[in-house]
Amino acid sequence: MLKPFKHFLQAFSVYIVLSFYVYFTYHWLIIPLALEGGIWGVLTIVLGIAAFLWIALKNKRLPYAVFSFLLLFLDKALQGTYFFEGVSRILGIVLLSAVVWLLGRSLIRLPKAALSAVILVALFFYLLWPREDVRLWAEFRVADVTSPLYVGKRSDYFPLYLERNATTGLDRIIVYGNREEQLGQDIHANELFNENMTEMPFKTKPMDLEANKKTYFLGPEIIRPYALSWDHGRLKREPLSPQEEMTWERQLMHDYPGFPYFEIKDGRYQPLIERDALAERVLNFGQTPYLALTLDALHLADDLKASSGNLDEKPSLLGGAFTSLRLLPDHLEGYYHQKPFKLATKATQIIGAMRVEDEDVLVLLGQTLDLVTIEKNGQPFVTHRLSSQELPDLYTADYLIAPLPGEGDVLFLSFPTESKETAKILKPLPGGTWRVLFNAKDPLFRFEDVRIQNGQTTILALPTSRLSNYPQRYLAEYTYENGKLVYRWKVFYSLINVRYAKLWAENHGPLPWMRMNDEAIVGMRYGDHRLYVLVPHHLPVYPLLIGSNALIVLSLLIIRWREHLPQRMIKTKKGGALH
Amino acid sequence: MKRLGFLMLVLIIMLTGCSEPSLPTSTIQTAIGTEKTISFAPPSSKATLVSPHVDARKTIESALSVMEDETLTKSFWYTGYIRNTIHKRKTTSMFSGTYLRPTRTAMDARMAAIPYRFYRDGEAFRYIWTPETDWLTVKSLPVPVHPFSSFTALLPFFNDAEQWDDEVLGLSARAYRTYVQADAFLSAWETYRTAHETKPLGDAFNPNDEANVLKLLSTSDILLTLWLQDDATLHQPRIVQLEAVLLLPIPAAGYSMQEVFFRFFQFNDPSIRLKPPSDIERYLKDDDETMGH
Repeated sequence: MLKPFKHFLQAFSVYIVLSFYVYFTYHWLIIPLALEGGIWGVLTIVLGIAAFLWIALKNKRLPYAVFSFLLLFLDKALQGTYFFEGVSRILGIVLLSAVVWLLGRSLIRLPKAALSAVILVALFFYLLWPREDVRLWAEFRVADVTSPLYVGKRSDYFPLYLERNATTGLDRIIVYGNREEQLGQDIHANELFNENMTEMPFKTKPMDLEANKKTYFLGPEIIRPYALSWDHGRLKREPLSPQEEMTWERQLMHDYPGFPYFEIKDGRYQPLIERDALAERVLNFGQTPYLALTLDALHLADDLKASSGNLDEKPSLLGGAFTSLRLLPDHLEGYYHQKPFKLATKATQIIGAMRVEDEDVLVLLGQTLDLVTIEKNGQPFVTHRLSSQELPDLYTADYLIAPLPGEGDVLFLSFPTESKETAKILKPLPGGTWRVLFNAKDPLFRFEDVRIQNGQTTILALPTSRLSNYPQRYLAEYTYENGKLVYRWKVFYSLINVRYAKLWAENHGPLPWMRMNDEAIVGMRYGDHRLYVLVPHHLPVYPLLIGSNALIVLSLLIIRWREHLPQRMIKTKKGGALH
Repeated sequence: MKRLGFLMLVLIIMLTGCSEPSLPTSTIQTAIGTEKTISFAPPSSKATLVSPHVDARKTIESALSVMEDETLTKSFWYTGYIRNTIHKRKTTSMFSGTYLRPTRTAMDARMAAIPYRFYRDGEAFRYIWTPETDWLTVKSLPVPVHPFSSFTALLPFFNDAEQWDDEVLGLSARAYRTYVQADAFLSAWETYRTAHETKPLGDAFNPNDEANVLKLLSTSDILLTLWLQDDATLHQPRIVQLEAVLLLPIPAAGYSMQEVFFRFFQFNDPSIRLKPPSDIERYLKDDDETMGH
């Protein structure tokens, strides 16, 4: 091997390692510190970088600073190429790399090996993963990511349900999609590298290609419940029977995407009114409340028809204590330990059932939140009630029921983004009162799921960052200790509809050779309908990262100390400009 | 000083052990035994209640006559939305544009966030623009448009209203607000439907469905608010804002909050000029046979 080439390769390998170090320190340490620490985090970063520069040798400061800057600049700038398609995108990538090369060479003559490493590492991450996925890796292995399951533009998101198979004990994920029907493509369509992984909002989607169209009618769109189960290391779509499809379609209806302008009926997502008809009617401004009510009523009529007039039904709650529950517009009927009961109520939703003071209790939501017990004589009785006087917007809140250590069953409430109320944990007390166990300070905080595993209760939630008021939710897990929600981890990545899912059997990891007990966390990416399956990797990422930073600080200190020694005490050593 | 870098790293470890901040917690009393279950916030944060019971029909009627008069209200801007919140899901439609009497209007709109533009000059000239199609002739059956006489449908509800002092666009305004019983609202709605809505909206009801829906909607709550502002030159009130809040029972999803809001401003602004239909027709991408308007 030629000597200069060997020398180049050696230097190049060192710069590759250095590039990875800078890349991960930035995404796993600096970004979280800024987002979580707020102004103090930013201050820490500034002080930290200042300290680094102070410790480093004078003549090395600028080259390393420029090296790091160019890497992070290229990492960020490459994202801009998603605005372009095909050849223009390749040209964009080449152009950006050339700019980085020229800047590095002309400004301070960085070695070619260093610049090659910068460009190679930036391209490596750009081509293989969406930029922000790297933030997930601090805690998770991304076991699977699907292609966008829904390829229309009518809805930002659909709900996600889990269905547990009684015999295998495994969950399958039910989401809504039309990729296979519309594009004829598999849910893991072969995408060139991470093509379309970061979708730009105005990007033409395949649906629009039917454009050239001469009609402005929105018309129906196919939409199907997709059942996805884990199969040999990835999600696989399972066929659903017509009966199952109908059941799930009804579930989807209860999430009301596009209400009241769109409805889901017979596998179609269709408009109840076209845009021109709506605009013209709106011009009768004084009648707009009636116009809106007309659309609501048309939608609700179809909803009621699809559910045979029932507002809500639950076949069985609390392990069969409550059975055959049916909620109608003016009453609830069902069985409690096989004895029938009936309650006059204006509730519209059966949230679930819980245990309060050793009693079985039904939780109903209407304009008020009601807890109902069945007395010994078989008569239902409302023991607890909250109205919007006590808790504004409670009728649009989302509810979860789960036990907390030391508290028993409690209610987790999450409010819509615009609501002034913040997420809460409520515990019903004897005498009809409620104790607020937790009252989120963060206005966007949402509870997503609760799990009890090996005696430990963990809570999945979506908190925001402390840096800005930008309404971005991230993903975190908490435990409840001494009246506090304590972080287990937090990743600065946005997912919605996040759930704990048991996709594989115990002692079977996501892949056959993985023997581990970790369950999956599944969630959708907002706006582009991709399903993520995450598995905790338990690697000590932060200790490793902090340790390596400490090592670097230590070696910098040693180098500096050696510099201060009289020159004759150190053996001279060969090295490139950056060594 | 040399230890600063290390101290920073220690700080990171400390940060990872944090708990989610909570507001002070307390005990909430039960609502059992209290009559009112729904409460609405004041019309705005600046509003003060003047009178809990006034008959506002006359005042609103006179404001309406100013708005209906095509010489007193030659042109205006409008902006508004219909927003539905069901649990965490929010669906919004938005409409804003200018109106030039007698019959010309151009609107920028979104239906459930899907954008479009709408142009109308009487029933004869109706065009729609979408990002996918450019301008096309509207195909739906025309409905008569009366921007302000349409308010008479709401008038009877203001026989017993609250009067608030409030502000609209920084100027003082009077807000009249009324809580409408679901039954009264539903019967007024039925009149509207039979008079205005046949196809394409009204044909989906069959009698059985309609009975079910009416039964369900009978537990709705409706709050109507109209804002009036005195016109500086006319010394007469105009209607400048409308808000309707409908709390609707939604199967398996609690109650929906539906907000309908419209605002009218820049009355008789000389800068409001709208292109004649012939200017739009130049851009029409229709097939030849539909170009005949």
